[in-house]
Amino acid sequence: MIFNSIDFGIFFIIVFLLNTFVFNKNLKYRNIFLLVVSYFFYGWWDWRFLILIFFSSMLDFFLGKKIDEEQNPVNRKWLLAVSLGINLGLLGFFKYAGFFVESFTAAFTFFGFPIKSYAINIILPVGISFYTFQTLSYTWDIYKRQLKPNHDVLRFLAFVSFFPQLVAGPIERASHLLPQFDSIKKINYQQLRSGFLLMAVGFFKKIVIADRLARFVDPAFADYDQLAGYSAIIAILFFTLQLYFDFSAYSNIAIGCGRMLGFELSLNFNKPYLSTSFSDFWRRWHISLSSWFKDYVYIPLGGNKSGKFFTIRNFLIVFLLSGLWHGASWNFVLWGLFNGLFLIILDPFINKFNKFTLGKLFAGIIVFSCWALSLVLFRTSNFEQSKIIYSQIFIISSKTIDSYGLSIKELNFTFTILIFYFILEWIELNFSSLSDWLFKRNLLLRWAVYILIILSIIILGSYGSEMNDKQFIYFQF
Amino acid sequence: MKAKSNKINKTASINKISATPVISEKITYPKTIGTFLKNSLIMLFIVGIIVIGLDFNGLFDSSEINYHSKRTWEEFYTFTKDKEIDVLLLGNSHIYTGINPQGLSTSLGVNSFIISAPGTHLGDVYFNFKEALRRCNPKVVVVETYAIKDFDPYVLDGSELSDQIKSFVSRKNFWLKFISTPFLFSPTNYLFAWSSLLRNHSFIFTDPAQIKSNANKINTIVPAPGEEYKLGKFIRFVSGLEPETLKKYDELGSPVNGQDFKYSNYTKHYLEKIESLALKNNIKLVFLTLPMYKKHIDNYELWKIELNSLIDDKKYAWLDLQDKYDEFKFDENSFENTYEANQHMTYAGSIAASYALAAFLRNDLKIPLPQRFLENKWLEIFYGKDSYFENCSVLSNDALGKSLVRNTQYGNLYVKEIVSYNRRENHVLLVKIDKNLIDESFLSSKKLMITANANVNGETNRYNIELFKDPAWNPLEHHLYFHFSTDLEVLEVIDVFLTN
Repeated sequence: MIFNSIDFGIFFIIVFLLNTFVFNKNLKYRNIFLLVVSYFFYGWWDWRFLILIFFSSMLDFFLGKKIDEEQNPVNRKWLLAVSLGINLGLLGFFKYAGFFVESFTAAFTFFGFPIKSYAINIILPVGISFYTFQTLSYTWDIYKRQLKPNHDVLRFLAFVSFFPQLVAGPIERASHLLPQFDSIKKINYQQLRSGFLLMAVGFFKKIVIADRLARFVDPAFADYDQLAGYSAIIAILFFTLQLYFDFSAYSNIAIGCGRMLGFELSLNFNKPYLSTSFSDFWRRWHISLSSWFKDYVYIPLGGNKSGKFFTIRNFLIVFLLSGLWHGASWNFVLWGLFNGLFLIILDPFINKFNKFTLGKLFAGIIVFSCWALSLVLFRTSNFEQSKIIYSQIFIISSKTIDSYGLSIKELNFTFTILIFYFILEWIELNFSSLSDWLFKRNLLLRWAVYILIILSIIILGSYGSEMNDKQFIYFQF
Repeated sequence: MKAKSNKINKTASINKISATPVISEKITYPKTIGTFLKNSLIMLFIVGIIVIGLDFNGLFDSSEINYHSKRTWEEFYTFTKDKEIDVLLLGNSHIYTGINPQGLSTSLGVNSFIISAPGTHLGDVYFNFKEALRRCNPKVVVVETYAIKDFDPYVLDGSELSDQIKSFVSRKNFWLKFISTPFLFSPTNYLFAWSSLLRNHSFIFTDPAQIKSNANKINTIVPAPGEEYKLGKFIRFVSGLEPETLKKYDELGSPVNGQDFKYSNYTKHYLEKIESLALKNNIKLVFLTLPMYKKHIDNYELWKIELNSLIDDKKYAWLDLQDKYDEFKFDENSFENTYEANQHMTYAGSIAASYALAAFLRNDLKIPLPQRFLENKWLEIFYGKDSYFENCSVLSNDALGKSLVRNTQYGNLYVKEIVSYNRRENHVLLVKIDKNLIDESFLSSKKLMITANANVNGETNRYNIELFKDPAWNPLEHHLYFHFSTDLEVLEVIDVFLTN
């Protein structure tokens, strides 16, 4: 079930009403209810993989308890290793088996030992990368004695499978989300209102902006060998924006849904395209993943405490793993490597001049451009395609800009709405929260804004009976 | 006493609530949620009103040029205000191109009407039938078998979904549309089926001219008073298969294979529903298979076996024109010039198929049909229009047509009528020879000639004129011979005779 579908609309209204009026009075029933609806939400896609999420959750629930009870450091380490091994093993099998087999075959062939490989077709369970990281952080935190294990299996299962964030994050830490399953928090009007507004903004970003950008990006990248000049630049720019609007829209909707059910999820995006350095960017982009890698990979490796060489090594490991987390292909590994190198090489240079306004603007442009260029690797299916696109950026295109799915009129509209959106983000970054400002206005203005957002989605949205509900990009990870 | 006790309890309970802060919280708690829900409902109502208003206004309606099913329903409602329909034909695009309702009506002397939408299936046929029955009481309903296919209404997408939505939108009975929605669409498409704004909101970018014409109410397909009824007909193809296309059949084989034909459980379900609806309303249900070009389909017998498992020809009346291809003399002029799988019939093909159907209803099934050709209302619709003179007599010599000869014996030929009329800058001469009195095989080996006084460029002279017989035109009562000319107009017939 995806957020921008009628199925989800009906599902969420029913869940919201039942949670609010029936189940939110008794903790046990509320948790059972949320577990059931979350499994229903996940099973809507493919019920067979419920077994996997159930197994993964139960394993970490019991290992978490065992690690906490165990006093022998060696045994504790072994128990943690079992948790890491099985979770990463499942992730590796479902996500990376095909990639590793292909890579080994290619390597052996390269060194003159051609071997026959068998194509492995494994369905990637939706959200496996997200919930695996979530449960891993649970056992790790217990191992580090930073968290006490949860002794109520229902709460734990509900925490792992909580449907708003199950398939595409934010990747919640047990220390933040799990306690919210330990008590009932009364839902108030303000929470509902802000949750609703977040969801509306999320739907606007997804349906009006991201899916419209996709209508240019998809045919443009499919035509990669003809994609050149300004068409290529616009395709790269649009994909960069599509990725942000698509993923941040999902996060908005997830946080909004959670809030309407009485839960606070973590912030996942904080205006990343207004960043003025690469380190700033990674503090704003997919925050729940970046901070996960920081806490569970970068810091355990030594962080920046062991000298320049090890700091650089640690950064590169984090970025290579982050690339691999996004997808099982060398393109993602390269994408991670490039971003690691940007951070290591360019940030010291950028940090020298991003102290004043014009310098900040220049820094912002450099960060955005490097990030956008790296996303060619993210969007194409192999390095050959990326190479072709990179090599054709400065060639004059034989195709007009309206050859790829959007008319000039619609392109103008898209540019206008993007400029308008980023002006709002800039205002919010430099002045105050727009939602807080809105909630203080009079009823007429508030309602006018709400209705305008809803009508904009209906009238200006990029959807239709002949289009399939477009999936969120981050579902594939 | 009991009432008093209740009153006391109620008062006590109110006092208790006001005295207990914990319970007081219980009162305010649902109030905040209630405010949110109330506001949400009001907002939903406002948005709904705006959407419905825009839909009602038709601002986002699609172009009605070539919107066949909408035009058909509009005309159907106008027609059935004061007229009955005797033969109702249902199906998809194959029937509206493959049957000429004027030809069928004038050959049987009844009112026939086609209700169909391109690309649709038996589920759509059923709901069209149901709505049509609210307005008419036909004696016969003819279902074309191309609508019998492997369909699942809940997985439609792309053009199939678009066709189904167009058909659905065209229907006019709100309640029937409402109750048919869950049977024709998956829940994802309910709103698209009902709202032109949701379907066509992209017109803002793709077709602002359409929005403008909708705003100015230029877009209208309601038939103008006095406009000729189309009766659900849509002449899309006037010329037949061309040599280039015919060559493909020899080079590439048939594009359609009968063994690929399948039908779904939905087909069976809706067939049973159509059958019971016909039975309930005492209507004779007839199936009709319109043909494709003989080389267009391979293994038709396998198609027929599969179709027969659904339409048992011992149980149902079924006219299979693919099977009777040669009997009704279909040829390359009868079919759309295409090698694509979905081949329709041309105007000539539709005429031949209409006569075959008329003969099947009257001669084989012997269905008692009303004699509407005696009614003024019927004549108002058909007199002098497409197919009228070919099937029926001139009533009085007027601008529409002249009867030059009537019921006259010329040698061994009994001429029922010779008619002269003008159509599209042509002088047309029709000679009708009684079928009962002369053998067709004898006629086919001869040429029919007439000697006539005719006017050419203002000068009147006597001419011997050869007439031709078009195999498509096969009226029930007479053999029909034609002569078309742009400059020769027959004024008086002197003789009619046959030569070798």
